[in-house]
Amino acid sequence: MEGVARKWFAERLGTGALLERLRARQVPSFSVPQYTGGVVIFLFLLQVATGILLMLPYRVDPASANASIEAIVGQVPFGSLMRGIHAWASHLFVAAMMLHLASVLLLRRYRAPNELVWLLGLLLLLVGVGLAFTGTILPWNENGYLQARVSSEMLGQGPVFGGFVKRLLRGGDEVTPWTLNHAYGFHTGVLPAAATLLVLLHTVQVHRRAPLADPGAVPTIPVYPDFAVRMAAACVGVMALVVSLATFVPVPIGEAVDLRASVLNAQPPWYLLFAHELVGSAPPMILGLPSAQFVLGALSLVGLFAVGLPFIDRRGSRITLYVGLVLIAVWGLLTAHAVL
Amino acid sequence: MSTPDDTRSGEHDGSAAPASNDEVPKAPSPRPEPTRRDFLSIAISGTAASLGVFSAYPVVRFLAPSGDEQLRTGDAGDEDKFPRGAGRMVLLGSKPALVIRLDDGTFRAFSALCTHLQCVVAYSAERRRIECPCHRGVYSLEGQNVSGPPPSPLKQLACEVVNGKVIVSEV
Repeated sequence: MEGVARKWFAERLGTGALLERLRARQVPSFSVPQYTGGVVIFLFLLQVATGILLMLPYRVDPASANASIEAIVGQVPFGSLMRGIHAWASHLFVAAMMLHLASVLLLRRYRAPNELVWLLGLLLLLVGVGLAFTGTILPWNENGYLQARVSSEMLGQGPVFGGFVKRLLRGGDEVTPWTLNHAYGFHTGVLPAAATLLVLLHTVQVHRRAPLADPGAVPTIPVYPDFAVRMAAACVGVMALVVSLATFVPVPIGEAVDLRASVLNAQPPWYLLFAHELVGSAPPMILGLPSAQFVLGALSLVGLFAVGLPFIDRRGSRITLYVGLVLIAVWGLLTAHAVL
Repeated sequence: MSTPDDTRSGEHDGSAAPASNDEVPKAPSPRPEPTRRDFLSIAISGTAASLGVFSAYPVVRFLAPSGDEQLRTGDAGDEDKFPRGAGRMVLLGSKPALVIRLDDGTFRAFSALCTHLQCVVAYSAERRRIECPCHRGVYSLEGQNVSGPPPSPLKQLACEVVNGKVIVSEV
């Protein structure tokens, strides 16, 4: 009976042909970017699923946003688990993206013909960090409020488009209730849609070509069933980690923001601490520019370097590799300094 | 996924049919005559592009509205209940402002937005100064940036006592 049903569906969906193609397709038996990338996609899907659930009881309103999250955690059945999974998955999501980027950088997989994959990946990092960051605004607690303020002010320092970016993020010139709406719209609509599209393009670009530059140089396995099973095992491990964290390590909700009541202090999430440290320790002016503007310019140059990397690093030079290592080290040191 | 070859097919069919070679060129012209197909292709893609540009403008404006709020005054409470040497936060619309009563009884008001990255500053009664907790910026009670990253003084606001109430307003 089961076999009949399976055959009926397989004939209509064409799964047999697809599985045959996946069986014939070989990938390296072990490759760090392959697994970190797969984990990024898994964590993204996990966040889409829990995020859609969380949209239902969450209220997009400065007066009740914080209380609605209190209610999700305190009253909605399994609300605490869903929010915990969503929040912890977002931290691991950013971490997995960084590991993926670092592995691609150090293995120099960005080189031709992978330029577009690399650029799509950089764009995905931007969208992914934007997703995680806009999520920290939604509880509309002190930290979220100040993060919305500081980040929009920081990005608004840029030339030409600065003003546009600032109003886009704030939903006006000032931080108002509309800022929360904009953050919510980006977090639940714009950015997930962009990320879905980019993940598809990125992954299709990776798999469209034969992924092996030098067939036979490394041991390979077929995509199905060997790689699929290994990837599934990795995802189960990640899921176990996320659920454990969500169960045993609560994510603080924070106090609803009250501008008249208290001294507001803010710390960005760990992945942006380096920028916090840079703008916090800089002198007021650098080279005649307000230091925040200077820091934004410097970070943009690093971004530009990353964009240009596959086009600079074509011959056997190791200089770009060293620059990459130095950047990772600087990021680590700044983050460590901010934490300690 | 697809194989390496199947995406490349379909690149060369259909487009840019070569000019018919039964015509004898009358004079050596530097550029070939545009065909009807070329003309239509340019006209259609040009129309599509301009439609795209024209529809982008309203979308961009829609996404990033500007325009200030109307409410520009705030009430910091009764004058006789405002202790000397204390500070209070007031909201001008959604913008936070800081009112300080000095030891001589006079009031000072500043925008509470740090000139560095717009964190909300706070008055410190012990240290007699205005501090921004985000990046450790410090201002004097005159609003002058003293230390830390702030590049300029706090924006000064007008502050007056009307019918016993301390009223803050944008200048």
